[in-house]
Amino acid sequence: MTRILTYIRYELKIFLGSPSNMFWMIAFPLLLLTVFSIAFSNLRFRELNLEKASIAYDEEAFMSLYFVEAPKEMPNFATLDRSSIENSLFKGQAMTKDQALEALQEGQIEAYVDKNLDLVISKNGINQMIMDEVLTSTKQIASLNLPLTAYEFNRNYVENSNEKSSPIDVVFYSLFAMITLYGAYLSSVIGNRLIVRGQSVSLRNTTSSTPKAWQVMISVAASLLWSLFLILIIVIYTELILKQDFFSPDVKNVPLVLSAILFGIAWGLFLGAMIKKESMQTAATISSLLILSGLSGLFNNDIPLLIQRYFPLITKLNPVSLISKELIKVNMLGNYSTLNTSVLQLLAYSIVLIGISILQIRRKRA
Amino acid sequence: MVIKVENLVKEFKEIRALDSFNLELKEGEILGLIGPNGSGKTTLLLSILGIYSYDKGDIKVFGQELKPNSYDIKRKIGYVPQDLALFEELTVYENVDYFAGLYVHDAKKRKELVKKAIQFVGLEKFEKFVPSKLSGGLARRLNIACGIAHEPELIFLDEPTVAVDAQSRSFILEGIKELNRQGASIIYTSHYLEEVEDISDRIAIIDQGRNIITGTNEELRDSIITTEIIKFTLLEENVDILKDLRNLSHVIDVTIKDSEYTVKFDNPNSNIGTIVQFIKDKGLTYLKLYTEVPSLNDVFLELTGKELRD
Repeated sequence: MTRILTYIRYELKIFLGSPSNMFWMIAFPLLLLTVFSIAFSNLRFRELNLEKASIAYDEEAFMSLYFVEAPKEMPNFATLDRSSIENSLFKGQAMTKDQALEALQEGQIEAYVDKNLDLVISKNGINQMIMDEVLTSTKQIASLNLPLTAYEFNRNYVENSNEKSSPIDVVFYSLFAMITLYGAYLSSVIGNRLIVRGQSVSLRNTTSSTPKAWQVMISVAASLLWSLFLILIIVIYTELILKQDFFSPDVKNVPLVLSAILFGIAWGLFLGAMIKKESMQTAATISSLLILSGLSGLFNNDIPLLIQRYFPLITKLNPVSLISKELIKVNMLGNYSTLNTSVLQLLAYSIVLIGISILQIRRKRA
Repeated sequence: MVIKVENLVKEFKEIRALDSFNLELKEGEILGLIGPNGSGKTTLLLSILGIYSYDKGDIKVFGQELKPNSYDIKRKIGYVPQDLALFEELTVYENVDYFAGLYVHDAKKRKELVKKAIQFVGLEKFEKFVPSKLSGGLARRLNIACGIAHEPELIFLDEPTVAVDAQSRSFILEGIKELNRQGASIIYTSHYLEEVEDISDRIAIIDQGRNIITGTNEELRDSIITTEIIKFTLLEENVDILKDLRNLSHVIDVTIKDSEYTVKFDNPNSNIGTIVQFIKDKGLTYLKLYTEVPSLNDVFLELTGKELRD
């Protein structure tokens, strides 16, 4: 155990020993957070004037639409006053699909819920986001063949969203998601060192009597500690210094953040093992995280919505999108409907990447 | 036998880096490998260490093939690479401890070994320095300490004195001899012929991936025709005596460079008298005249047809 701790300490010292690493690893994300906070704080904290959006729905989707209203208990549909639903949060009306699409094109409605509970939208916004959340939750219940009573009646989507969330939050949570993957930088360096490709230090590591698997384990442990430390700093800085309320003390954050960190480490190991040149590998780590975060909305909150519309598979596969989406849902909406799936998806990614990396590290001879 | 290499062939695409290479390292000896840049010295070491795969042949270390998971064998091996293999962010002590820890798990024992290794290379006063604060010679010493701290039985030293000042070189060479006295078998590569001659029990001359010859200093010298070399300079300039020199008895080669004549003989005796008499007969006066036994460079030159120092 002492040996493990010694090596973790050495790896962290090596990693953080260079001023450039110190800047990119700690100062840069803090700087980005500060800049975003200054630039977006007005937008973020303004009172959202949630106007009633005009929507249309397929007759068969009415029951699901009802749940947008976030009822406190299971309603009696026989006595339910349909007009009160249609004119509460959303101005709803039943339409056929063709009529709805035409109305969408002419801007008469903002969204259409078809009979499969798929949301067709003409523009992006908080209304659409809330509806999407509810429909996703409802679809999940339906797909699991659970009774509608499985719906989380105590969760008030609208209230939370109305008070706190804004499209700008997508930018912030994409940044947080990217930061959870920062362990990639450390694990990629160590991964690269375990294959002889020009680095003289790696000659020593690979000719030693310490198994590479042990060295990989040290890499994972050091990267994990480093990531947890960084996330702690980021949370403290965000909440106490910048006074931005992004994180709820929700225990559901724990599996999400841990799986995100593990994915980051696995991604770094993978890049370190597969890319020959250390400089190229660093560039690949930086660019891949920026691209994935960009697709998730780090640079523009419209990007993920566009991708969701035209390339939905990318959103489903992009780990940063998964993480940022779940961070929003857990911390802003209190919605856990897809949390387990996302955590499992991240874990699956991690296992595959670490497996490939270990095979490559063990197999590779010059 | 600590190492036995038989008919080793290693190719990099079109280039054959090692060609039917044979080598043996006996227990307790220092084997010097000399050869020009690109001759295959480092490739040989890395093949033996299991870093490089090879195309043909057989390598046995301590009687076994060295596989990636041959940890028991690896524990007995120390490697000092040609380039400095150090972490710039760690101190001298931490660097040695880092690499020693890859072999020695017990913290207390490791601490003793690290202290001993640092003392061995004379870096006690620099324990808390980072490598960038050390001179080239001291950094080389640290590089060695990192490779030998776990007290290996077999040590590979790849050009350990390259770009080192005379004082540090002498210190390093003495250290290598001491490691050998303590029982380590050593393979040592260098460009510096004098130091290879000085510390090696046997020497292998490598050229173009082939082991040209292996033997003791004497055996290598005995393997060539040249037995004595006489060098002289004359007071007179622009005299044409090369042809007459070549016609002298037992002369096998004559060259002139920077006004200095070099005459090689194939018999070991009376050659200096022959040259003095020749100069006198020609009515010339010598300024400087001395005799040499063939050097490793001469051995290399005669066996390969080119200078080792190139």
